[in-house]
Amino acid sequence: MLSRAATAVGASFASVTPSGLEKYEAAATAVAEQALDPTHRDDLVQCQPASVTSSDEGCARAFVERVGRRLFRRSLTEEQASARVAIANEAANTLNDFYAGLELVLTSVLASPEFLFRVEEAEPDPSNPSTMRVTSVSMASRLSYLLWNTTPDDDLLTAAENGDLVDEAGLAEQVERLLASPKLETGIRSIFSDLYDFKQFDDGLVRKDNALFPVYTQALVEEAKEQTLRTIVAHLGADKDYRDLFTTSESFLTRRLGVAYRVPVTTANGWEPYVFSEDARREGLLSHISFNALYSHPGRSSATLRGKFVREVLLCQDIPTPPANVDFSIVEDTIGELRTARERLEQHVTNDACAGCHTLTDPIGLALESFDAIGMLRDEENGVPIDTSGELDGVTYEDAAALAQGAPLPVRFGAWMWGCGMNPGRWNPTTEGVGYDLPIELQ
Amino acid sequence: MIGGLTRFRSLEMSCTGNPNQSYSFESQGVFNAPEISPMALYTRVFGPEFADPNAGPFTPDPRLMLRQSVLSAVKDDRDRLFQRVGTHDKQRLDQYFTSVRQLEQQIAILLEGPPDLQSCSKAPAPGAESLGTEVEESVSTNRLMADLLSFALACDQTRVFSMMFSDRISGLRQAGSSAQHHQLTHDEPLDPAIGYQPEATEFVFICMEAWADFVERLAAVPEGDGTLLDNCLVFGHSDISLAKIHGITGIPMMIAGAAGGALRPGVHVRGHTSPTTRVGLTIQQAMGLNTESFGTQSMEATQPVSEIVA
Repeated sequence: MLSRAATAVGASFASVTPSGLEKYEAAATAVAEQALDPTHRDDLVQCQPASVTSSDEGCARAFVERVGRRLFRRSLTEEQASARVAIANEAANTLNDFYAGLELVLTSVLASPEFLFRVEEAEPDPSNPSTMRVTSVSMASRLSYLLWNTTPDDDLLTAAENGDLVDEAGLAEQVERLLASPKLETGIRSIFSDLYDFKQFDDGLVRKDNALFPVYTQALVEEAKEQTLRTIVAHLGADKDYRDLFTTSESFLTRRLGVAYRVPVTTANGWEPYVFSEDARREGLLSHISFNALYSHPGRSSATLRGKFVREVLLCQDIPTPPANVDFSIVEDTIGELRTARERLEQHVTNDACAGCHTLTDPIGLALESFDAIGMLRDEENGVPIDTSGELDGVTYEDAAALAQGAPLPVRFGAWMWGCGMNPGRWNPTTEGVGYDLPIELQ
Repeated sequence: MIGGLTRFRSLEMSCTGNPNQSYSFESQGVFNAPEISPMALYTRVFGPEFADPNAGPFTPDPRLMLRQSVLSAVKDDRDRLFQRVGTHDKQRLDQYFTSVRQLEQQIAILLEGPPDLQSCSKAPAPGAESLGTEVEESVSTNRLMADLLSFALACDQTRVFSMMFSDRISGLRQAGSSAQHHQLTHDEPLDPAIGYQPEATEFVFICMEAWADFVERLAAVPEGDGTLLDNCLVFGHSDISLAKIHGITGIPMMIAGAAGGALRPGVHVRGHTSPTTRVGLTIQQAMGLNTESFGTQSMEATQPVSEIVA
């Protein structure tokens, strides 16, 4: 299994640290309290206890079996169910509160490795006993996390537990159903949010200097991210070629985004479909504010970060880490201000130790230098015209649009999907990761 | 080993506003995520679970014992899975099991009631916080967290801590400036009159002042005949020496505190060609660990820095 994790920051190795579990248990407790508070409990508990101030074994068991199955993505074993019914009874009688008992049960399910880790099991394939196949129940999770980014629904679990998903026709039927569901959009958004690492926006880690970039606000950030995801969902939803995402001028804008893109948006509130004009220099996802703001520093753009993203994530290529004890004697004598990113980075390329990586990242990133640290267009940096021309893998170009048109950027999505994207950290219901390998006897 | 007896095995802190970088690792590739918010650190250590020694008679929360039942069920789930998975997943489940055990121990310590320590009192809630990459934000976060840590140590809530002042490839910057510390170290010319890069070096000065802030806060808490700092060992370092060339020789390393008398303070030692791991070895031995060597190959150290050993 691939361990490289260009798209899974923090989840490259599935592990639960002590402080991580401590915080996770606290979060699970908070979720359980909210899910079982008086305003929500009837959605989750489909029976009424005989008394709300003491235990009710029957109602507790019904809750454990139904909710446990959804969260574990399979039916609980008898031991697992009984242990949790016992917790519910003990807690209800200690705290004189039936629902407090269920809260602890729910916490115990959410904190279980059976929920936290996605364990795939394999079995010999009866039609070809020398090979292994994923079990029907494991296939249910694989499908629903891939296509919906969530746990299987009741229909899918039932099909799985009936053995339908090891049968080609049964599998096809469920795949068709999942693809036709509105939840597919959630799955697409999740794949691309991971691919572009948009979680950094959600975590508030993409900060910009207020004085330099007054347009950049939290509201703008959220809409910039949404713009890109909407563009992708609409494009793929219309059955268009994935590769054209890197050249399309079709997108969606709000008035706030219109200010940053410096184009008129007629809709006062909310979104409108928008087609950038030919001379707008906004072609493809790499011209979006979201991408350019994310792969920049707080005060300035970064040709290196942008180029590194394109190489590692879109093209699925490795960029080595920077070397130690570099002999910078050639550039030590530099006197005078370096005014553009190209001038600054050319210093690196004059040194062999640095050039190895910077010749991979910089030509791509320098083509994107017409987008500043928040993705707004510019023609100059520190009074010097920006040169966006370059060469990538033998293809020369004048600017970012020509790079996207002419370079082999988009064609590698298949490679990403199976090479970088299908890393084990990617497919899991939490931030902690997932395990995939087989018992030795089944390998 | 050192952290095993306290409520928190360790506390990780960071002033960078970024929870994804830490100095504390479980194993290669698995880091312990730091607290980035002083308020979150306060709530974790001194929130409702903290048994305040000045708050009257102690009665254990019955929920603590019920949480033990929850963790017991979870451990049974782990045992069931353990039988069914391959080697790599067994390692993951081992890590998970260790984490559950740590949480069980935390609950057991909470059930024991408030710490019986003269210098222990509940920390006051921290003042207003601002998280980000401006260096003044880091300076302020560092002060707030050092203050909370001094209370946590005085109450023996933990014995191991780490603090990250700037992230790797330092993103620190001055408000209103487009240049970050890391970029300045590469781009800024040397000022021939002073022999260094003035703007980049300003960040180093601020960083050293922040280290002094941190250490002074621990020195301000009386403990026994001396101070909390006398009974601590605080190790401070940079991951490179001359940033401009990514220099990894001549890295400055500092130790504050006497580790309860195990170390001699006030000594400067030139490392010459010694591997930096000698400092790590010295620290481990000063902290009472039975460690004979540290590091591998050319970085293997077997001799502590005897000049500072008391």
